[in-house]
Amino acid sequence: MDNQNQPLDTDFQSGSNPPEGLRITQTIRQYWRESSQWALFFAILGFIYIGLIMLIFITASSKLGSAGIPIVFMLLLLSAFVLPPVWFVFQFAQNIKKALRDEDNLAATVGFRNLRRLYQFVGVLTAIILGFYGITLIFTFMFLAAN
Amino acid sequence: MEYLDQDFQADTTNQLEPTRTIRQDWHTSARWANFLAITWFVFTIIGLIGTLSIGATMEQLALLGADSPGMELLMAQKTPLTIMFLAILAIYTALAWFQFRFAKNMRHALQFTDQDALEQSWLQFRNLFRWSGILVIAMIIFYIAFIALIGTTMMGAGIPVG
Repeated sequence: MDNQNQPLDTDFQSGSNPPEGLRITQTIRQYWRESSQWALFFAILGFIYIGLIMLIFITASSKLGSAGIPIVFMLLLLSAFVLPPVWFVFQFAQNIKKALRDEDNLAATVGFRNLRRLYQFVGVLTAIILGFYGITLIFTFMFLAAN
Repeated sequence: MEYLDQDFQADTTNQLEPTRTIRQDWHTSARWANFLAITWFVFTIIGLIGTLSIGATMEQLALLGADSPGMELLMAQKTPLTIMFLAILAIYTALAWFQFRFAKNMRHALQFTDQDALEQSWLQFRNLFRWSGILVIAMIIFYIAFIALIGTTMMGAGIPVG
């Protein structure tokens, strides 16, 4: 016979509750702290790199005049590939630091969302590059077979 | 008048906890990390094959008649070049290994609610970032030293720098 005295929400599991056993221990916090410090270092380096590249390209395009349009196009293309991962790393670092400092779960959520975006971006880019390699290989073999 | 859910607090606790959203993000990150680690491993194997065939390639080039002074210099540097490439490959393998372990442990932790695996996973993630950072610092120092060396050599030879 069922126990009639148990609370109505005995089996209720809030969607936001962690599964039994998974906790954010002090050890994990320490790993996150160190990881976020390194991530901030990478982000700063990335921003410096983007700044230097932009400086070089802008100087080159201003000296070349209208012939510098392809250079500006290359600059935009490069920025489109380099800026997002640097921004995701920066956001990850900042939000994890905030989460650890203020015990802010929302900041942790935003931080890990940016980590996921970073992995997705790099992963998709890698998949595209691998696809290009594959296509190049196929065409090379086809060319060699035809000759 | 009281509401039935007046004591219910929906995730407003001021405590860090792995919510469902966070766990989903960890899971997606782990899947992509696994893909990236496997890709790195494959490229490392290709690089290893290339590195081990440096000697044979140089000898083939020499046989083809490319016996210029530059080629002789390269042939003399065959062993140091191979060692350098092997060291680079070893570093990349270590980084790929950290990435792989992060992904593997994270997926295990989320699937079986394993606290030890979760801690291991973040340890590997920390290691990945730490060693990547050390590598980047070493590369920056190497570049600065290289530029300084070139500059000193040029000034020593009386060539105007800049």
